[in-house]
Parts: sequence; structure tokens; C-alpha cells
Amino acid sequence: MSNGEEAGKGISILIAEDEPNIVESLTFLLEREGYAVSAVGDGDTALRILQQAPPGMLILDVMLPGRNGFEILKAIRANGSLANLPVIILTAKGQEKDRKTALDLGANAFITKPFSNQDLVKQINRISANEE
Amino acid sequence: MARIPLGPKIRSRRKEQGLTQATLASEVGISASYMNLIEQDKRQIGGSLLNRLAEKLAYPIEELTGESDRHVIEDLEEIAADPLLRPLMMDARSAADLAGKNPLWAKAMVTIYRAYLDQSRSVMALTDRLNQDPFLAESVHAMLSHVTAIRSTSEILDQENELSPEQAARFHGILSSESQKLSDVSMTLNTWFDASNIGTRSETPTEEVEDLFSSHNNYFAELETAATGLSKKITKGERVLEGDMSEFARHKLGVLINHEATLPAEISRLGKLSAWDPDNKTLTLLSTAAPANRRFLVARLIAELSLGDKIDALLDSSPVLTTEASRERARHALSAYTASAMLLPYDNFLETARSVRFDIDALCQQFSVTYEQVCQRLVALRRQGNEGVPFALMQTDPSGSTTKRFPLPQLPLPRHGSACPLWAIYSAFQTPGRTVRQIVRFPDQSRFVFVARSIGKLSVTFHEPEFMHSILLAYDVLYADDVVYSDGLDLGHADNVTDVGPNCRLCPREDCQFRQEDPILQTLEATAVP
Repeated sequence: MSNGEEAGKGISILIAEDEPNIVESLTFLLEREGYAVSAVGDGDTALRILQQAPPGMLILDVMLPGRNGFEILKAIRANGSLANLPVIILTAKGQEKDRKTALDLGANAFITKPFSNQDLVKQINRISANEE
Repeated sequence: MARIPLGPKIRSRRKEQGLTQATLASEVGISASYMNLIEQDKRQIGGSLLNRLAEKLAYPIEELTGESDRHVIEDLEEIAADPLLRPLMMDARSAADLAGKNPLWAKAMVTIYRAYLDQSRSVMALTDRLNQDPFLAESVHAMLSHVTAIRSTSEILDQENELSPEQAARFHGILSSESQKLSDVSMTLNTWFDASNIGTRSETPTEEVEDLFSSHNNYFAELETAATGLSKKITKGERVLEGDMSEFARHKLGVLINHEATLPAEISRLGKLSAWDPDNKTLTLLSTAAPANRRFLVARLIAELSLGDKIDALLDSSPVLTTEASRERARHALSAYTASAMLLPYDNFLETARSVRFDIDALCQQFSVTYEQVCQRLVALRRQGNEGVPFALMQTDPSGSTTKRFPLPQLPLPRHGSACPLWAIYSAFQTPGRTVRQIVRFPDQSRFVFVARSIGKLSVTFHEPEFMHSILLAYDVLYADDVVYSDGLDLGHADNVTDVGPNCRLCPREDCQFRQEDPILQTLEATAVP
């Protein structure tokens, strides 16, 4: 997983996920990679933070209380200043329909729960490397 | 309703009283042979003779005449009319016979029939519940979330060598608590399945046709292509007009199209706008029917006659149509689909719909079609690579019966009876002709915009009662900004949202003040293992 180099290079990642234990593992894994990680439990708070201080990347769960992840993603892509923000959709609904919706709405990656830590970290490192 | 036979009742009561036919006859002042005819129910009696007989036999008159059995007979007649039993061709007279001769057997049959109806409904509701169940979806989601935390945490514990003792303890704690939660959900699910009594479903032709449409995602590519080809044969113009179609029907299909003020008496009935006489190849249209309706009827007939082979091929390839009745109904529905594809060509219609943001009235004006025709076409815009907004469509009559349903995978619509009473499709009856809109939230937190309107089904004359029905289009809030009906709605504000369910029997909102029926199964919380 971590090969000694810091893939994250201090890039900030915002996690929008309402399961605190999943947030805890994600935070641990990504901080070890050198990312600066913060987390929120619902989409509207995520949107507010994104507008105030946009992070380098967003990990967005679909099943969020209030507006769901897809709605938040749509709002992000409609917002000029956030249109290029890398967004990784995280979902427990693995159906093809959700994957299609995510990609149609402009997600950069789609990760299905339960994920392997290694795959998740690889995906995120790949996207952050592409962004550089 | 049929007359209840009195003879057998008189005979059995006489025997109970230990009287001979002759004795009873002389006591009421008639001959023994006439008494015999009465008991064989070959003579109808009434008036004072009936009263004298009732008195002599100490038989309350309303029991003897069967007034008290009347509701049993009505129930039996309802049983006889059930599509399941219709092939037996039972008549009303035999229901009265049974109630008269064997009242207890008649009551037994009614009881069993009621129980059968009730259980059929339960099976339907359970089947729907399994397919669309919010608890099941919620449990699977919860299980996946717990499994995700467990997998990720255990991988950290397994693969990370540099965890501090505090971190390791923390992750072990997570592992333990998530495993506990996972066990709870699994046990609950197990209990749920134990409690559910899931049966197989016997489907009606209407349901099979619904399944045909839903298995094709409401879109039939072959028919779209065929409709385009057919339209080109009918006219060089962009729009297929009634006149062009009539010409085509006459010259290419040998069909005569007439407009008449009334339809032939033998087939005329309320709501019927046309009559097709296959022997004389004549279509008679009611001249008072709205032009948009007439145009559609002609298009449907042309589709049926010109593209019957294509439609039949589709029917043959479908595994969901199991009876001839279903095929007949499906043939009709696919002809209507093809007509709709002719009048509202896919690409042109979708492009226009997008440009007016799915404003149904604007589309009615633009294409000279009815509100229903536009709604029906909107649900068919599912061509891969060029899809419209995914809409669900439901239609109901004022009694609350669902007369049309095109659900979305994530939006169940009631198969039988009515939906949640809070849905706008019902309140739309209060404001005929006006659009009613509503943001709804289901128990699984999914939200939709509902757009409903009730409309008169026919162009009516003064003497015809107006028949209303209500049409609902529904779309996920995700598409709110693509559709004109969400304009100005504050989707994020909780106060603007109506908390609804699928229908009372399937709805877990136990404290809902509009609840009419108890939920068919207990909620997860209620069945949860302590």
C-alpha cells in the first residue's frame, strides 16, 4: 500500500459519508498516504464547504441523509468553479444503473462497497496523479 | 336478482314439524296436489296464502321469502362474475337456487371466496413488497455498510505493522461493534423471511402486459423503426395528418373511414369513440370525438393492419404473455404504441420536449395530441444513448382503481387498488384540468416530484355523465432542473416535502394519521431480535 513515498503530497480530500466507522478507516488510510483528510456526514454541508474552501478531491457516498450523493454531484458539476473537482462516488448500490448515473453525472471514479483498501487507495492515487 | 325458490324451504320446514303434505294443505285451505306443486317450486305463491303457510309453519316471513338471504345471493352473483369462474357460465337463477336449497353451503362458499380474495391480495402485496420492499433494501444497504467497515478495518489490522497500541485498540473496537451490528441486521432479516409467507402470483392479462412493457423498459425499437417507415409511406410531410391517413387507408389497405354522429346501436356504449367492422373493412368514428382522439384511432388501426406481423413477432418472442387474453391485450397496447410513435416521432418529440423542458401542455399544442398521449409517449423515451427524463406514469379513475401503470425501478406503483392517499394523483380530482405538483419522500428517503392532473375522458354531450380520470407523472428529484414542473420548488427544504408511502399495507409509517389499513407485515424495528 504505502511504499514510503507520499502519494498524497498534502492534497486535501473531503469525505462525505454518514457511517462514522467507514470515515475512520478512510481517514486512516488516506492520511497514511499523505492526504489531508476531513469529513462531513451529509451532502449539503459538503456543498457548503466545497464553495468556501474547495478541496483537491471529494469522496462522495450516494446514500446520504437529505439530498443524496447524485444530487450533490449534479449540483457540483453545475457550479462553474467546481466543475473540474475530482469526485469519487462511493456506493453500496453496485447496480449498473447507479454506475451509469454516476458517470453520466460526471463522476471521475465509482467505488463499490465493500471495497478493498488497496484498490481504493490505488484509485485515489491514480486520480490525484492525473490531476497534477 | 333471481327469485329465491320457496318450495324446498316449505317442504323441509313441514317435515321438521312432522306434518304431511295433505295435512298442511288442508290447514291452509288448498289441495294436496297444489301443495305438491308449491313444494316442487312449480307454482309461485304470495299474498295471503304465503302468510298462512308462514303462520302454520311458525316460519318468520322474511326468512321464508329469503329477504335475509338476499345478501348471500348478491355475494354468490359476485362470485359467479369472477373472471376465474366465468367459463362455468353460472347464471343468477342458480345462485338463488343454492341460497334457497342449501343456505349453509352458500354461506360456506361466500366465506371461502372472501378468504380467497383476502389471501390473493396478501400474496400480491407480499410479492410487491419483496420486489420493492423498503426494509429489504434498507437491510441490504445496512449489511453492505457494516461489511465495508469490517473489511476495511480488518485489512488495516492485518496489513499495517506500524499501528500504535491506541490505534490498534480503536480498530479492534470498530471491528467488534460493526460485527455486532452486522449480526443484528442478519438476524432481523432472517426473522423477516421467517415471518413472510410468500406465495406465487397468478397474473391477470393486464399485469402480463405491464410486465411486457417493463421488460422492454417501455421502449420497442422495432416498432419505432416500423412506425417511421409507415409514416413515410403515408405522407411526405413532417406530420401525419388524419386526412393523409384516411387516404392511405382507403388506397393501400382498402379501409373506409366514416364520420358519424352516432355509432351503430349494437356496439355503442359510453366512452366508445369508434367502431371497427372487419367484415366490411369500415372504421366509423364518432364525429363529436376530439380531432386528436380521432387521429390517434385512425393511426392505431393503420398500425394494426400494416404492422400486425411485426407486432405478432414481438408477442411471440415474449415469455411473459401466457394466455391468449394477454396476447390480445398486448396486441392492442402495441398497436397504440406504434400509433403514438407515428404521431410523435421519437427524435423530433424528444428534442422538442427537451426544448420546452417537458411541458406537457406545450407538447400537446405543438403536436396536436391529447394530454394523455403526451404522457404516454414521455414514458417511452428510453432509447439507449438518447433517453428522456425517466418518468413513471399512473392513471386512476375516481374510485381509486389504478387503470394504467408504468413504474420506475425505484418507484413502485400499486398493482391493485389505490396508492397512498397523500399522492397528488388523488387530490388532483379536486381541481379538474389543473396541474397539481408535489415533492414526495418515501420511507427509504428517495424523493420524487409528482405532477398530476385530472381530465375528462370524453368530449361529452349534455346527457352523458362526465367521466374523469387522473394522470400522474413522476420523476426523481435528480432530474428536477430538466423539467418545468420543478420550477420554483425549494427541493432542499424539508417543509415542502410530503412524507408518503407506497400504500398503507406496505407502508412502515405507523404514526401516519392518514393510515387506512394496518401494515401487512411488522416493521424491522418491531420484528428485530432483542
